[in-house]
Amino acid sequence: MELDLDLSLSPHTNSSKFGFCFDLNKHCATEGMLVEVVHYEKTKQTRFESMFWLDNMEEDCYVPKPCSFSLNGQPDEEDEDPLESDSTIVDDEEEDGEVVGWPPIKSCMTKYHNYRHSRNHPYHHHGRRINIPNPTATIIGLRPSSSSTSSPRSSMYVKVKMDGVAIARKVDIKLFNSYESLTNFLITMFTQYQNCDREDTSYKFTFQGKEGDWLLLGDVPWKIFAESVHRISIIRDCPCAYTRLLF
Amino acid sequence: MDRRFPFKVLEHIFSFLDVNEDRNSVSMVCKSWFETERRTRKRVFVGNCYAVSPLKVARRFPKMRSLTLKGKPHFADYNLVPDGWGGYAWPWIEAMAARRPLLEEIRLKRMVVTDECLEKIAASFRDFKSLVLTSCEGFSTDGIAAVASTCRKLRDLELRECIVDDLGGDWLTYFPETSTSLASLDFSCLDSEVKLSDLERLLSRSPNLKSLKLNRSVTLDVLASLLRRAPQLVELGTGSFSDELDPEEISKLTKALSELKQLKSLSGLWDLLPEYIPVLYSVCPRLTSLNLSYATVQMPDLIDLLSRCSKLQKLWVMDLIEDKGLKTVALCCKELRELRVFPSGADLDETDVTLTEQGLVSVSEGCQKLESVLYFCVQFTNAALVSIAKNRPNFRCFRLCVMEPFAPDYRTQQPLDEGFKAIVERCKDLRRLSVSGLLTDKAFEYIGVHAKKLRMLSIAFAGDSDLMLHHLLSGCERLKKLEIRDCPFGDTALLENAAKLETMRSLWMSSCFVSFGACKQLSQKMPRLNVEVIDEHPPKTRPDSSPVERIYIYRTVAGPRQDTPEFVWTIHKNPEVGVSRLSIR
Repeated sequence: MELDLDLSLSPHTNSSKFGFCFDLNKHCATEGMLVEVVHYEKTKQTRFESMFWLDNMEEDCYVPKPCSFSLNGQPDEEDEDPLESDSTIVDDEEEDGEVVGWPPIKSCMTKYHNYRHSRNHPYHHHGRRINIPNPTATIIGLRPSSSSTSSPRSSMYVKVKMDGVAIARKVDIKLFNSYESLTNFLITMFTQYQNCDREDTSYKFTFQGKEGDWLLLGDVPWKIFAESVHRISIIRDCPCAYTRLLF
Repeated sequence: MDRRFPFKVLEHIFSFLDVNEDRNSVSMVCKSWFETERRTRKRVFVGNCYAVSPLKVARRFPKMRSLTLKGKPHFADYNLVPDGWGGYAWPWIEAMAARRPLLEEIRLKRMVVTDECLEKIAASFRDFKSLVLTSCEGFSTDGIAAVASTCRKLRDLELRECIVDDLGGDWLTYFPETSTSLASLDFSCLDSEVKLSDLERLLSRSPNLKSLKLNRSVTLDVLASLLRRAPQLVELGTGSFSDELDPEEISKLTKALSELKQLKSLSGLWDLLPEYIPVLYSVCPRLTSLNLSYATVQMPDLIDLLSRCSKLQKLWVMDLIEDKGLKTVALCCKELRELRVFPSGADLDETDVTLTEQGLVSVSEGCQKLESVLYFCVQFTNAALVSIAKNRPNFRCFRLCVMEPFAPDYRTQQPLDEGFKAIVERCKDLRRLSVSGLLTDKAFEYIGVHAKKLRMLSIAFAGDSDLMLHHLLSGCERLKKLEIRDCPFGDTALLENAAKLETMRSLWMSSCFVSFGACKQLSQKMPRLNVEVIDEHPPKTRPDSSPVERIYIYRTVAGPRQDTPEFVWTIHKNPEVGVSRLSIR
């Protein structure tokens, strides 16, 4: 069951009836504000509260406060040690958790696109799910199969950072059905254009779930992982041209 | 014996030179030519407002009538330059106001312009005719009102994609009732409504008005009435094109548009409804420029419109045109010189938009005169690039934005190196290039070897190593502007090719691997470059090995700038580091 959350949601929604968690990969920009789309899947109310600093949470009613979120800031976070980050949410006005200024479209046009997709547009279809990120900031991510534009609605993009690679990537977890397929794909993706011998290196995969803890891949069953993974980090044992520049 | 030409003769000869590049060359021949040239230059262009001081420019060109300035680096358009970086127009306006009161035209791009600046312009230049602001910010409609009311001979007032503090539509009332000189008015970037009666009166008394670009708040029902008062228009930017009209109004609008016998350029068309396309039929056959960037109609409707535009030279459109629509363009628009296809975000509406590389291939096949392209596409192939290059060796500007970073050729999974190689090999006149998709150092080796006339290059998410930068800086002889983001190269190439940077206007690098130490070294080694490290959240300490977020390097004869904000570091802010280790090579 899914609920579309927007600014005019009735305050009488009974939040205790439905559990919910936030799919942090989806959010939309409405006239410059970001509002999360909520998927009701789990009963994790307290976690919801703490993540989104909603002060006025009451048993029977809530009005979501529009606040700006980003996932993790810019993808080229070579300075950030994933094991030390203490928060899954970085408040950053500029970032939608996606790349700044990409694709390179001028602000007058983005402004227009936002307007088109907003509620104020005369041809906005009411009742449809509002799930439209800023069109300047969509990374579709590499897919193991070719072409077809996958709709971002049924996908779950997760940021993957490999040790020694400046630019983090995003992958759609929903395209995989096992740890093996995921890890193989990730290794291929990252080593594709680097001078690392795949055979010689050992990779350690860790992931960060919604609660913020870092776990090893395989610690939880795939299904649970696929629903709760928020970030993935890959550490590898391979001297690479980049690592010397990072330290 | 003195064999010099008499000054008057030389002056007369130079008066035929209008290209500034020629004038620059001429002024380097000898001192007397320098003197003669500088006394005769009327249109002055400064590509980087920090490259030279306003005072020097004012002094050098006593006959200056037109000044064009550019401020922020190009990537500021995509929010890569933090607010407050710089690019202030004030010092220039102030200097010109004091020394060149006969200045008639000011054109600014990516600069911070305040109301104070606009008021100063209005107050200081009695013959002021033309104000063109592109991608500027920092002013309000009050400043516009000041210019409108005071500049009696105002001919052009154009606000192109500016960010304006819009305090309401009153500014329009400030054009004096007696002014009849207006030739060009562009307020398309403003949000608020202007009063119809004010606009009608202004149009009625402006027989010279050739270009009018309305904002989106001007509704469709009033357009006919406006056009009837300006049948001489050559360029029209409509307001909103989606309001409901009854049949009589539609017929009036159709008639009003058909009366625009001189109309060559059409833009605006916000939210164009398919049912209104027939209204435009009468102007299509004459159009040389059509901007459909805001016209949210689908491919069949676009085909309907474009198939009638046989004289079209410039087309800006969204990807809603799809491959099929571009095929029609290839068939019908044989005069096409410039094509831009922008992403509409249509996939988010769940509408199927089939724009692939094939669209661009078709246009390159069919439109022999095509020389400038900006194309946004999700993915591409080498084969397509090779075809395009074969078809159109006359490209001067080729900007391909494969929107998926690192996307390889989706058929072969290879990098797009070979595709771009074909482009630079075949298109010998290429002046501007933007590359994207998966690219290795090889691509840049090809560019370095072949793109000998290239002036501006934009790169994102590409390359493997320092070699990439090295190829470019050592190969592209005419390179003037290089902008790079998110590429994995570092210090070595930059330092080795430092001398090259003085031959360029500027180099921008963001999210690359350049270390702070290298920036310091470069600053010390090259005193005639301004090396700016732009870190939005500057760290308290900066070890030499720490990578910097952004660097902007530009040549200058004006020395360090005095208006840097906190987050911009230059060596001059740490004089104890700079002075002791200055080495002169």
